[in-house]
Amino acid sequence: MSEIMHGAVAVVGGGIGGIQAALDLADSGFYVYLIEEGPAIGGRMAQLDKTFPTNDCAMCMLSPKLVEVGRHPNVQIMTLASVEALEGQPGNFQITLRQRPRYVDITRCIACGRCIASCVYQDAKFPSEFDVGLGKRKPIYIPFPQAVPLAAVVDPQTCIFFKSGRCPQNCLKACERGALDFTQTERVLTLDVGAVIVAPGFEPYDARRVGEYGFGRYANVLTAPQFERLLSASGPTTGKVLRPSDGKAPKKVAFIQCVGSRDLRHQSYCSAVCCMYATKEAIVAKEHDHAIEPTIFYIDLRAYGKGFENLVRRAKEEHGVRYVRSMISQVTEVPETKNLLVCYRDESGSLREEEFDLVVLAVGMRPSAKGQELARKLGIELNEHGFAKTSLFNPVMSTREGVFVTGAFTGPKDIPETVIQASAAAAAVEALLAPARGTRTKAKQYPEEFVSEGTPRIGVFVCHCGSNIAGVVDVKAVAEYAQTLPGVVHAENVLYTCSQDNLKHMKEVIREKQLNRVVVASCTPRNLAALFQDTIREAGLNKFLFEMVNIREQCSWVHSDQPEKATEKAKRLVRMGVAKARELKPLAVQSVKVTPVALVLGGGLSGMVAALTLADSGFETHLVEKSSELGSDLKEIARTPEGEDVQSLRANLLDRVCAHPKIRVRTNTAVKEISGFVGNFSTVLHRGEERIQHGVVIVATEAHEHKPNEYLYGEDGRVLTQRELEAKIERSEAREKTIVMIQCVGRNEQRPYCSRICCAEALQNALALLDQDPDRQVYVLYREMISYGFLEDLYRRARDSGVVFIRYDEQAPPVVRKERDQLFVTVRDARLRQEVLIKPDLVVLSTGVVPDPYNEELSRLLKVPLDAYGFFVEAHIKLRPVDFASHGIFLCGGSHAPGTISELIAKAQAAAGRAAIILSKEQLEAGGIVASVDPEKCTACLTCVRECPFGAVFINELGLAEIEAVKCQGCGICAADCPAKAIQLGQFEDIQELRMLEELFAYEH
Amino acid sequence: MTGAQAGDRQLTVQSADLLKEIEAHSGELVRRCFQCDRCATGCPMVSYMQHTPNELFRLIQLGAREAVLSSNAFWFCVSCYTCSVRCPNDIDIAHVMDTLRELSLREGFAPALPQARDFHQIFLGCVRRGGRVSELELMARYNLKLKKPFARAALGWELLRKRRLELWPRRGRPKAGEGERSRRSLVMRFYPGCTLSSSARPYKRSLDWVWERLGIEIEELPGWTCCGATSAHALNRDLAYALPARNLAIAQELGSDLLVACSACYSRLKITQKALENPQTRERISRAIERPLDGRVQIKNILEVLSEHAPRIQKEKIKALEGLKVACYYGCLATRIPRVTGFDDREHPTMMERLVLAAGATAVEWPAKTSCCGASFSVISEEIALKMCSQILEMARRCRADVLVTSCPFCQYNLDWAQWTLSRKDGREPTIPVLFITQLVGLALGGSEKDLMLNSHLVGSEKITCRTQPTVNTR
Repeated sequence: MSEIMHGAVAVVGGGIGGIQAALDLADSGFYVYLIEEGPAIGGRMAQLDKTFPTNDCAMCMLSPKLVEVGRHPNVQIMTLASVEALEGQPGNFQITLRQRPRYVDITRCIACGRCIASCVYQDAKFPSEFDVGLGKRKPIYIPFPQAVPLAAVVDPQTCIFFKSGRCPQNCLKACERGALDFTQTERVLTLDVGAVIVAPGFEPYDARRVGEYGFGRYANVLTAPQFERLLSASGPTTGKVLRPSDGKAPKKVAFIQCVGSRDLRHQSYCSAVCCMYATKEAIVAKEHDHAIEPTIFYIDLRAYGKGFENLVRRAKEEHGVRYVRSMISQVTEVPETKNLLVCYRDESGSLREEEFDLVVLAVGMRPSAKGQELARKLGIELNEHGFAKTSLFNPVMSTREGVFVTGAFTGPKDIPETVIQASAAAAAVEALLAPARGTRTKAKQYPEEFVSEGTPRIGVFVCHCGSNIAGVVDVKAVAEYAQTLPGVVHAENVLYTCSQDNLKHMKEVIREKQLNRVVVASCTPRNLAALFQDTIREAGLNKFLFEMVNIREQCSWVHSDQPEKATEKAKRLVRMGVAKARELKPLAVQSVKVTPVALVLGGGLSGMVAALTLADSGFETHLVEKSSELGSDLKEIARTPEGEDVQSLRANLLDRVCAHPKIRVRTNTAVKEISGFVGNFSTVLHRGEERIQHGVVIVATEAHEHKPNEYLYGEDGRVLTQRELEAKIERSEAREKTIVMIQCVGRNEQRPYCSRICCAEALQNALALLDQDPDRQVYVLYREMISYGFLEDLYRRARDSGVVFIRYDEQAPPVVRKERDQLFVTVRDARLRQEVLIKPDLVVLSTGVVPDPYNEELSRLLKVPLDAYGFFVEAHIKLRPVDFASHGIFLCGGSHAPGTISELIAKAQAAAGRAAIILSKEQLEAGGIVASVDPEKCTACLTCVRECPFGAVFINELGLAEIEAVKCQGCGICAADCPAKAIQLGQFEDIQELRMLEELFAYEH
Repeated sequence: MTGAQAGDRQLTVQSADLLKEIEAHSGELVRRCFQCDRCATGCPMVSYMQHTPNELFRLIQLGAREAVLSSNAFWFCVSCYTCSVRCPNDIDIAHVMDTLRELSLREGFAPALPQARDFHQIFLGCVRRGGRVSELELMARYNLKLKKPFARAALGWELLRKRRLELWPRRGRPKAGEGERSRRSLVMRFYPGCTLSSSARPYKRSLDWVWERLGIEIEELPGWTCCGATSAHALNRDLAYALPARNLAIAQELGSDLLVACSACYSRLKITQKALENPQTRERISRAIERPLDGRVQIKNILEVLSEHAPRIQKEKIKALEGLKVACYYGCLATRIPRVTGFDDREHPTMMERLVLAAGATAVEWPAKTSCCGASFSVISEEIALKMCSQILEMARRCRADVLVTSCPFCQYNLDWAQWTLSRKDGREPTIPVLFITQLVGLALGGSEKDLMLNSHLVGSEKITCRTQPTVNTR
């Protein structure tokens, strides 16, 4: 560790993992350089249409994050930049970057698209990276509509100017902002950072290498990423599913799984996400066009994550997606129709040939070539598959100290796993650089707000947006019209409202004319509202005295062929905006002091890791465990499936937790009562009625092995669970020769979810048994072999060692019986469709995991939700996997969802990292757009108390509803549902909305 | 398609002895199979099989000796290696089928396809007697065995008339003087294989002509003997290695590499070379053939060597084949040698296309270029082979090919024969001439019908020869 410590961090890779890590770090007092190879951040997630298992719109989730990171004062985004070298040591690294020229000044570009329209290439002709080659782009282009930074970029590989030097450079002339600059050159720069997080992501496997499926030769064979673009509204067919050969809507669509994965000719590992994304794509395709009949051809259906089982069930039952367990040897194109012939084995075991209109190849994930290069330059090691080498117990730590790795760079994984790892890496960096926290971040100072009550004095700024708006809408007329509206004391039209000179001008006008309301009529508030609010705040106005009207997207762009009507519409929208502005009220934002102390509930693996992560970051932490000892969940586990020693991990954690000066451990202690809100919780413990003040809560209870009541368990000593067998092996007491393992025991209607870890446990135990005695016969009876990711190698090792895997159908589970003291297992081999009899000496049951029963009580105490099976429900399954919807409360551990030790460690680190964001602040801002109750009107009907997803509403001592401003997220549910209309949401008050509607309809011609 | 027939009898699992025995003999990890079904869904013969390969593998894992060794599946295996190429677990499944056939016979199970066993035994008998196989002798003995002495008489006459059967075959011993010439140090020697002097004589002729035209000196491997073809590996693993190994040993003694024209010979030589990498196998085979083996001989396919000359062919062609639409047919064995691919892309090879383009013709994109023609099933079970050939020919027709070209004697013969047979059977007009790639290249280089034996195919090639005219840039 260096004596100099920089409070800045380099995050390499601008996908969802990099963005999450950047935001977590920047929010907790570190300056972040977000370094991206491409021209925009967003990564693979930006290309997705929907995400499993909820089928939410990917861009709708990602876009706010893009904007947030793009506007964050403590994040500097560096696009077209790659890492050249890393020197120094943890705390004091020098990272050298090479930044390629964009040929466009992003501070000037307003993404109006004029340069693109004027390019000498009349038609887009080059394959678009964003549309995976299905769409086309020009040499100058905007990567995608929601790109951050939202600016054009020139591709010198295809640009005529760079290729021949002879180009009229129409683009240069077309740009009204002078943003294009063909003299830009590559620059090399070196930055001082304390740590590096590496998140370069993955590459889809090149389907051309799997020649038997004809990708690249047969027009109607697509890869899944391409199909995703076909489904996307922003894609090349605007969301219509059309096949490339003839542009017709396909009816029969085949998905072929494991393309390039689980295949020694390509990649031996399982890519972990393809079963689910194919399921999602099949459902979404059907939603787009009900006539589509999707069929998914697969080996094992790996629906092992939270909510996955449910999605597959819905795909089958509600959407009619056909799943066929048979791999396809080859795809043959029908010459006349370009349809595709596929031979498969049907459920009855017969081989059939079927014609499909479209074939989608579920290509796997492979480590990106750029990632490999990056690893070399950063001096970190890769594993045998080319992914970043990490250790199981430090899942985000690379082989070089101070360099952390996250996301698909460490192995195939989905978005939540990536987000968890990103937060975990951020947490690890925070622990490393804790002393340098806040040394490089900037905090903005604002003048004191002047009281702006009284008669509205409204200023209206109408934007030309170059000719983007002014080319269609008569902006001058709009401004003149605005001047006539009641309350308006200033109106003008401006070339670019968002330009630096205008922002300065706006502040001057506010002061000169003593404006107390501002309306800007320009583009979408999504990008710039925050900028304008900041500007009026700098002028001393409350930032909520601002209203924005979108006359670009909603007027000039959609009605470009009807300029007069577009102008009329713009006037009407401005009139509505002014009407609302008249009713605007300043909203108070108070500061609440934060108690920089954490409470961690649950002293298992996750609780210990979370506590250590927080304590290492410098926060006092209370670790509270209900049972008599810490780490009891690890006691029965000797080693991980990969062979790591779990007991030494446990001992190490116990030592560190007990010795840490910042951790206070209480065992045999339950929580009696929790009150307060984010930053200021107060908890009473059962033992000694002790009261703890703390700023955050982390729920870290674990899950447990289910104890079965079938298959003679408990009746015959030769029937064990996997955990029991592991202990027996560890004691070298296993002498049996023939062993049968039964998977998915007790998995039924009530407990339909996959427990994720049992297959690996079975593989591990089977291998250990054969390791002790190679002459044993081990049979594993399974439904789906869940050996996702690198665990597939373990599955292959088990087969190579002679373990026989027999698949049974869910409807025909194995039968165990005892006759004259001999055990018999009969199972119907689903492939042979034949009954098989085994006479085992030992039967081992994989029973899955169930959440801690204590969860129910915690759920009640903390007012956080549980799902139907007793697992906690996170704020958002994709992007907020370790947060509860209620602020200040976080979750990790098996009681969130089952996971491997490595996954649980990452999740615990992530929860600690998220919690540290709050603890790192001296005070939190509360208020602003929040709801409040009018006590005169409240009838205490409790509707709001029930409806509030954040537990912000309580009944006060007067017996009336009251809303805790700190907890309120401003969603408006209570305001909408209150039968007495007693609740108003700031900035969206009834009167404000009504005034707008009145103006909309009362418009006189 | 099995299982259904396997019935509902309960199967009691047995020890791993059967599995271990089969793995030891084949050297393949049968236990690794995870039942993905690719072997079943890609197999051209699967509809005749009681068990798909993966079902057999499962039965082997369960120790069901009787069910496995009495299955008909391995008798219907045509050794096209599609399963081996597509197996994600890197199991040479076709090779395991050979093992099962051998074990099944050894343990006295009745063969499901006795004529297959007879054919292979007669074939090997011919090799034993003459070192090389005379197709005339082979067919005569096979007819006698089946007690149908005049079977295929019309075909035989037609082939004789077209000079595609050799009446007086040469034996696998060096002729006088051949030895001396052979001592000269040539980097590469030609291994023609048995068919090139009879049914594939046009191949040999056109090849010689093209070599001469390109000024490449080529010399036959002295004293070469049969590679064993399908028959050896169908019945006897070690014989299947020993026969090619003998030829490799001769080449090794001469310090030369081998150029192979026939896909089957190429495949056998390459597979043997690979198998000999195992020191135990090498020692065992070396002892059997009484010659040392060092595994240093390079084996090259004719397409590899010929396509190196594509630029010259392009430059020196004097006849235009413009507009001639050619479907390149590789068949299975040229590309499908598990783990030993010498080809650019085993699923979508393009070497022949390069030559076709160099010759000035157009290569059509079609999906059957590596499908199996049925190989020896054209003798063992005509109906099956006819069906397989028809599918290939039909696909070529639908893709609007004027002509098929191939580098494999067996493929050429089968596709030629199938059209001839079908035309006699139901009067279907044979439509697509099937040429050797060397004939097409020879045509472009100005070879005459006679030079290239273009008139010796069962399907006439007038359609092509009448279209070829001298190019403008003739010098």
